[in-house]
Amino acid sequence: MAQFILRRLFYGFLVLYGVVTIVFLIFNLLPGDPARMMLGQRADQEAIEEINAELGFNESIFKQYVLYLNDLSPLSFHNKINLSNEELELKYGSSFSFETKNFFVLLKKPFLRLSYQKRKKVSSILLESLPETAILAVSSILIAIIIGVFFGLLSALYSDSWFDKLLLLVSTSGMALPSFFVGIIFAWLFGFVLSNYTGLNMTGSLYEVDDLGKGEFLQLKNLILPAITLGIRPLSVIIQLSRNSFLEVMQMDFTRTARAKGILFLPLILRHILRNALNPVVTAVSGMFASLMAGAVFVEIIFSWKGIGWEIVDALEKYDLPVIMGAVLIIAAIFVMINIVVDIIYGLLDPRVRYS
Amino acid sequence: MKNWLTSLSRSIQFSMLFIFIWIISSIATLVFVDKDYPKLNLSDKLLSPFSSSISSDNFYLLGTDELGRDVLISLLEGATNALMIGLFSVLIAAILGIFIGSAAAYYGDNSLKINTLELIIKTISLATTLLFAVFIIPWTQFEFFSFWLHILFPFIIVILLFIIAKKIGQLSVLTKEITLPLDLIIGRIIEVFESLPTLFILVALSTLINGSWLSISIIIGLTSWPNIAKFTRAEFLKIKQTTFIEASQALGLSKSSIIIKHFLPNAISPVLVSLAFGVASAVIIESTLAFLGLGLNAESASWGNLLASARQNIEAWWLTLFPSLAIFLVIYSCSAIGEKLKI
Repeated sequence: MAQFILRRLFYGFLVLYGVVTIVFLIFNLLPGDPARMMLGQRADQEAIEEINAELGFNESIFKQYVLYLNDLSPLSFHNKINLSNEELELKYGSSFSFETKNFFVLLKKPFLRLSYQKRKKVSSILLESLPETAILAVSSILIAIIIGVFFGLLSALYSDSWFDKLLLLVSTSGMALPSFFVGIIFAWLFGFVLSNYTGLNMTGSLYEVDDLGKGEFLQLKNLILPAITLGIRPLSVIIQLSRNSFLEVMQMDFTRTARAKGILFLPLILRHILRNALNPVVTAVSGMFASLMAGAVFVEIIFSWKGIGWEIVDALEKYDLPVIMGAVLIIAAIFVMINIVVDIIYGLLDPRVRYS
Repeated sequence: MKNWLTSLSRSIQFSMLFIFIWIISSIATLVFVDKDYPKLNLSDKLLSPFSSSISSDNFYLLGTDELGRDVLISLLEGATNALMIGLFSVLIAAILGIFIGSAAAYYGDNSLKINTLELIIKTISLATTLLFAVFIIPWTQFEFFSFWLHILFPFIIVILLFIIAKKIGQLSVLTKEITLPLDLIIGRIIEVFESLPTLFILVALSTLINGSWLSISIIIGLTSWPNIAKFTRAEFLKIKQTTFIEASQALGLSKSSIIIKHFLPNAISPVLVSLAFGVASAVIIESTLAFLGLGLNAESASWGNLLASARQNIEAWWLTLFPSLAIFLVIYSCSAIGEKLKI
């Protein structure tokens, strides 16, 4: 088992290394001059060269790559000649370090560099926006689970009725709808046409600055539309999954036995059917979550929800490459880690997985 | 023939009809729609459907957008672009995915033996050619002919270097052979591509390209092959255990003829399913990029462009309704046909 976990971790590390390499290559391909973007149109040549030297753009591409890896890796080496103690503290924060004759050896959190525009650490920018995306993703998945399982149960109970057929049509269309299109329709319908009745806004974030500018306050009603929009696709999947799974469980012997014993309808559903039927739903939800985090981008743009996707598009407009690279890396790292954990859980549950 | 058609369910018949209409109207748009048709007409901006032009004798069946462009014409041109991008990107993804997936499944982890020196030379030549292709090609000037030149040139160099590597490997002093775990390596590469958030990568890459339908299909194709590779690999692994493959290996058929004559015909229908879904997702990606203003360039129409302009003019319902209906119908039809092929 220990060998299996170690092997899985090693593969995960390899995948992360590949992700970092590809991200580095892609973002070094992009045309454009970050120094000129930072300084504006009228910058003089010396200032541009200074910025380029500071960001390391005048080095060769391979040296830039190695430096980037050094910044990202938790264990890093730094030449004493180039770096003073204060700079070390400023860039890498409080970290465990020891010195050799020529080098600092650091044990640190991965350093995602500084944003070009905001002159802040990318990690702190992303830490501000990541929770907002997480809240959006979690609430949409909750909506999808609760409504989806309920409707799945209903359409399994009344299978082949008009209700079941209608729900099948609706959920199949729900899977075919791109989320940005649902977003526009919802924003238009509930935030614009019906806004007098619903009291909702077309756009808005979780924290709004109030009209007098006296700081931010929580605006929970802005969560409703984006969460429903994001939840439509998982909702459709869950309806169909849970319907099929309910139908399967209802034909099992233990359900018949429980009915024959004269159990009431509600306890039968809650105690016997629901528990057994929810397994495929749980598996699907764990797989959906990571893709929801990345798929939230368009919903965030349409509703101006200030999450990680909004941050990325904003950074792209300003050519703020470290922010985009950091966001892509964080999402990829979350995905890889979820995969590793799921694989290890499968390995714990099923011994055959360990030896394949 | 008639029997086969009537045996299908209503929704599949509808989907096939719609796909047929999509293809026919795209071809008709390419052939018949006048390129000099007045694109901008600011005096006609935001006219509702079934209204005639104020300044000329045009009649707008589906209304106009905020720059006075005919929505019907934009819709038709968007259909053409979506069809071309969908088909071409899936073609690229299919070529890459089927090739890589079948190689991974056919060789597995312990049947590809390769000379050490040959392996080293091949790795170095592949890496340098890739780097060359990535950094030297002028990606921003993306013309049709220069594209083929720039793709073909590294490709030919790689093939030449591989042949040289094989010759050196045969006559060299280092004859020690090692087994290459091809399935493991390809599995990790697929995992890398899957864990990258594809849309962000596409958003970044779309600043590189010039916005022609060809360049967009290429970046969509290059990021969506892992799915097809996974399908192909799983299907090949199933077929690999059957007796007719064993028999054909025992008869001494060559690898390529086993793969092409025996593996592919048996694996093709599940792969076709993933292709049908691939067209749907390519259309979604294309319209999403256009919606963000990053896809096709401004002169060529796209359903996503139309939706983006609908967002600016929220009270013009015809700008939202028609393009979103078109996107929805295309995706619904593609996935319905994909589901049908699955069974």
